[in-house]
Amino acid sequence: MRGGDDADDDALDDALDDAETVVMSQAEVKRANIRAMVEGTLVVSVGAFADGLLVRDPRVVLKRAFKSPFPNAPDRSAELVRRLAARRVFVPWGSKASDVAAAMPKPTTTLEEHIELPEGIEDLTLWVPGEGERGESGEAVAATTTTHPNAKPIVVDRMLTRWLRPHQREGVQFMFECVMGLRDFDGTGCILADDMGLGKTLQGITLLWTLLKQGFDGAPAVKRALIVCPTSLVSNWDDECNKWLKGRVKTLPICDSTRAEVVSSIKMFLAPRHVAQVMIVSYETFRIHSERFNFDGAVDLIMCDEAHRLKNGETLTNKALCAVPCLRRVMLSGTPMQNHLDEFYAMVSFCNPGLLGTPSEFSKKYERPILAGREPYATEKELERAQMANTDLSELVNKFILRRTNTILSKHLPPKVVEVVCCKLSPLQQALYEHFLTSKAATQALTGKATAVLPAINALKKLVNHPKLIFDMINGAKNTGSAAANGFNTCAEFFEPGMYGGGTSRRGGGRMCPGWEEHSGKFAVLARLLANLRSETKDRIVIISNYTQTLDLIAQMCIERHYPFVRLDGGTTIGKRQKLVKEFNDPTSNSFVFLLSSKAGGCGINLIGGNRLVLFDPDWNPANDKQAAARCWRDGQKKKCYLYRFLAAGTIEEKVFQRQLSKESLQNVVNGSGELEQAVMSTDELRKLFSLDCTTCSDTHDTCGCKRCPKREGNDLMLDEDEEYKFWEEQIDEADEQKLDEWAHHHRIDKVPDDILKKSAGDDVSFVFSLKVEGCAIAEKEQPPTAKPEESKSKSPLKTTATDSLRSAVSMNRPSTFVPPSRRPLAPRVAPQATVTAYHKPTMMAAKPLPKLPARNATKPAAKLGRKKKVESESELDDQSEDEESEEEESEEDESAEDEPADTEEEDEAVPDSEDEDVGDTSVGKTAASKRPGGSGRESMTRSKAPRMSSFSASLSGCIGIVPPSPSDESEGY
Amino acid sequence: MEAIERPSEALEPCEELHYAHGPTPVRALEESGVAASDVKKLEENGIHTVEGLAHASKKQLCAIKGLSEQKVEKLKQIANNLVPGGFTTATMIEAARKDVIMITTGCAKVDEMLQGGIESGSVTEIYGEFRTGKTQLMHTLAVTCQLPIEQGGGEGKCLYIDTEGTFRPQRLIQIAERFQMDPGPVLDNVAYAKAHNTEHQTELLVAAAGMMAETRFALMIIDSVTNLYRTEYEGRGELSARQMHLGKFLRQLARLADEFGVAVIVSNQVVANPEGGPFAGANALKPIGGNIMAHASTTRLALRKGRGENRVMKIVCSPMLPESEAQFSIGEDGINDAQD
Repeated sequence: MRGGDDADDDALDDALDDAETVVMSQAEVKRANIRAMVEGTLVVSVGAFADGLLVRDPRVVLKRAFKSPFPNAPDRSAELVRRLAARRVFVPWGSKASDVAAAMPKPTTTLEEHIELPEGIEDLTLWVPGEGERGESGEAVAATTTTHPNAKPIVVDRMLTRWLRPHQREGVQFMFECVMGLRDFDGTGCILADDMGLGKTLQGITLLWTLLKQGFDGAPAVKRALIVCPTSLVSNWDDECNKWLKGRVKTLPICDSTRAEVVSSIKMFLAPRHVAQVMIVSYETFRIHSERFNFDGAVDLIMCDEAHRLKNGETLTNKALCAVPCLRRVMLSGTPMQNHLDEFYAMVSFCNPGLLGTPSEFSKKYERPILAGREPYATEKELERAQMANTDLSELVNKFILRRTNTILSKHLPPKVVEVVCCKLSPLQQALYEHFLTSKAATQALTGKATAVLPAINALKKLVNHPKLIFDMINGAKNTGSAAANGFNTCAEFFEPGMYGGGTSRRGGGRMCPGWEEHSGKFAVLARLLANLRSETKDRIVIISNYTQTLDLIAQMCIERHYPFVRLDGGTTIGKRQKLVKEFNDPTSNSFVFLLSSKAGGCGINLIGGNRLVLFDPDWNPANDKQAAARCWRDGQKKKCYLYRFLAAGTIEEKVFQRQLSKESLQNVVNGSGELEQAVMSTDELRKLFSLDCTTCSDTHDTCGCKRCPKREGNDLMLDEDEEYKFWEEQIDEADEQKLDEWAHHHRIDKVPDDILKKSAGDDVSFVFSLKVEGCAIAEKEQPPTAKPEESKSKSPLKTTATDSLRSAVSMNRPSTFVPPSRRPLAPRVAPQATVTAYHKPTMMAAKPLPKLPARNATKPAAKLGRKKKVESESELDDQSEDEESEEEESEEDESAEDEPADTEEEDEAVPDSEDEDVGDTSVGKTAASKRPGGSGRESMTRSKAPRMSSFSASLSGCIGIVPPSPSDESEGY
Repeated sequence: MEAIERPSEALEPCEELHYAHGPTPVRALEESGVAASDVKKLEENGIHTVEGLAHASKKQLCAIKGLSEQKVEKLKQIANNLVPGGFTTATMIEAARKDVIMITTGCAKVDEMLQGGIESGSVTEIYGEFRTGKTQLMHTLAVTCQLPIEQGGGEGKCLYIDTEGTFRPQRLIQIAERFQMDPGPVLDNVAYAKAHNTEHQTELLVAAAGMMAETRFALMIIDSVTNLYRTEYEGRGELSARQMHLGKFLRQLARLADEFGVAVIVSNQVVANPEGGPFAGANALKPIGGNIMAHASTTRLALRKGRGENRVMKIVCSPMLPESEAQFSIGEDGINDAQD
């Protein structure tokens, strides 16, 4: 009590000071109090003599959160959190035991302190305080560091560091510097454009986790992060996050949900008291709900996977993402450059808005000079300007774009042989082709009527696959009365009655005359190839085509010849897809042919069961073909791979292929070489889409300006073989598509480095380009030619890389089969004895370390499948509800059901490609570009990453000379 | 929505996330489109968490003024979506059981017998004559529940409902000193209420649920649960009403235990068992509350006097533990190891 009780207490004084801010002596206080009492203005309040004894309102104390009575103990220990969390875990009946283990929160004791980095791997420090001054644009950063005494060095969590490969460390560092504004450019966005399979996801997750935990001022730099990815990858990202971060970050994947649920999830995520820190959402869902994110501080980091989806700056998705006020944008894409510099511009301007100026500025400053310089007939001056523009652009974008190609990866993949096989047309095809070219439709097409161009291209592409497709088209047109078969109206006489059966069935149900395969050059070669493969090897083959009708025909051929085959196209359900793939990859199954529609096959399936792959027809977009070609030659492949690209000589297909080559060379802007590739083809050449040169053995070869081959005189000249092989020794696969003139050129089949093709070629192959890519040595090769025992071994279910590496290590001890160190694939560089010991007790070592090794597929395929299915349904739902703009990725679904539209769409693609006016109608092009399904580099998702990493490290240490991991480390990985 | 509840120790115990691992407060439903007024109604009626809502019967919900049947239907649906339910595997349960928090009694032997102490998430009943240490055990637990997990505590507050008027904070201070705890916060962490009649005792549970939704409680003590019932309901005529009321009360207790993961310990008084005869020994006394009480408690512990300061605890009924006995002593610092 103050006032009445004028005890001469210091505390009283203090209290008075506080209350009246007037310094009074004790006597004055006393006087004042007395006066107040007399006047009746005395105010009495509860005070305290000492803080500790303050009487508090019990209601307040009751409401207070628990405070530990121990001075230094946390009020909520990690262990408590874990135990409470364990109470809430619920794994429904029907889940696997492994799910239970995964769902239970892990004991806290195994955290940081216990993570020992493998030998030779050091902590990855991204930033130390004070380093901000380094970058010119880092003043702001420097300022914050000085004001924040609690700034700590930013070090990547060891649980992640231990898995990071050198190039991934570099990638993480790079992205970190970009995103935190430590680099010398105006923006905080970056593009990680590593090739498929280099672990973009892991790098992205590492960055995410680091920023969620650490920041310049000691507080996390990112509170909420958004991962946007294609629908089918949402659950994959979720799995990846949980696998690598061991569930330490709470993710909120938006998968199968009704609209209301999506809305409530987003609300929960954006609420101030949010629990989930990472939301994973598909592009489509995000677009619909994007307005909700349009406030400051909604998210602190946006990560776009398969970011080439954003290549069209005009799409709603792109605009929606742009509108989010978050400038830390990370884009992950395996194929950043798809068709056109425009698209590249769109991606860059999303990532770092304004950096490249307005579209017209960009076009003026960079695009036009570069394109002009790429013409073969460019003047000196144009060339010079182009070179300058290219260097400028390259320098600029390389500040925030990091692209590594899988040259590194190829060191631990088996060798591959790429063969571009030019096949002659059959007489029937030739007749039809010529007939078409003289038809009215073709003339219309040539005069630039856009509506006529697309069907014409389409028809020709079908024709060179097989005349049966044209036959069906004519029949179909007859039945429906449509004009689909324009240009072939009068072709009926070319087909003998009963040739392909009378039926109009599209699935090839009609009876075909014997020898129908011979009606197409490509088919004939394929048929012989299959026959030879079946009889002579145990290889399995993947056949990829753009046309489901072509697949129908191949399927029919397989049926006739009793080859076991499976088929995956847009009509195959997600669940079934996985089953098919599994079956094909299972070494014990009786599989031979895998028929794949290139659109459906783009998304990350892994066909390592097959080691030969036929791209039956070329796609306009080189990235699509690249993706498709990567199905076999990828991690886990043990055999030498053969990739055949079939082209019909002198026809439109060669033009398409040439078009691909020209697009590929654009990539160099991104690749960072800064050097200007001169396009092989001029745009004028491409105008000749509709010509047919039956005499040529390969139009591509003729036009690529090959200086090495002696002059062509018809079909039958020969040349010095050594000359031809001159370059491929130095070839790296990065350049393989672009520098066709450096490949081996085979005018005759006998020097082609592929026995099976040699036998299968017959008269139908006119020319072959081949390219050998060196890979790691494969175990089979070290054995005597008939690798039967090897074969049977690899059939055992325990076909792990570990055993392989051990096997090859053991075989290394035999002097006869010594492998030079640089080629040594999987064996660690250790003393032979050590390896042998390791071989004797593999089980012990395998059992020892890493109980929580991230195991991928093995753990929960079922759950994943289920979720994927839901994903499909979700996007459909989105579709129906409010999708006016049809940029769904799921267009593959349409494809099988309704082949025509899908094909047409594909043709649309051609239009924006060509800069020239003859085929061009850009308005069509714009929509087409937005329609295109993103052919994407998501190939890494179905693969077991951990083993790959380890084998990878082994190969790296063998090749680059990093301290090799000890043998036990080696087996740890498996 | 498939917002997989994936708890993680990664989340820092910051205020923003403070309900991250306890039950979800019913306020969270506002984000799913439930009106704030409805949320308030639920809270006023003791439903403070989404889990509580999901587990409540429709009948109970419909009894709340202002909630129509349709609204209840909708609420239940939303809650059921958020709270996983249905069958699971024993594997899962086994894994979860390993992480059940046990609160130490202060005596090593007793803890050993109980395999850790008083179990969280269930109701433990303790009965015995006067001077057998029931209240002392309660006092000790009120302190030990604040210990860190590693030391056998529950890292949470204690809620103490007293019906006999035997609560002595001074004892808490003495016991806190034994564990080198700061007495001030120890007392602050004990929420005490005196129940004056059985109605009041039940109402307190509603308030308790609200408090538990706010912050972490590790333990709830009712000393003793039957005292008021024993005197308020008289004779056989009111027996069934008494038992009904007691049953409801115990049911609510069990619900709180399950919903918030708190350990609930109740003490019970005994009655002379005339049927036992003169030679019945310890069996001459039996706990009151009859079968209702017996069935409601998950673990039943009987206390009896031993030599000197020692007391004997016997497991009478437990789903897991065998019938066995352990000795402890009562000292100034609460329950401690038995003296020789």
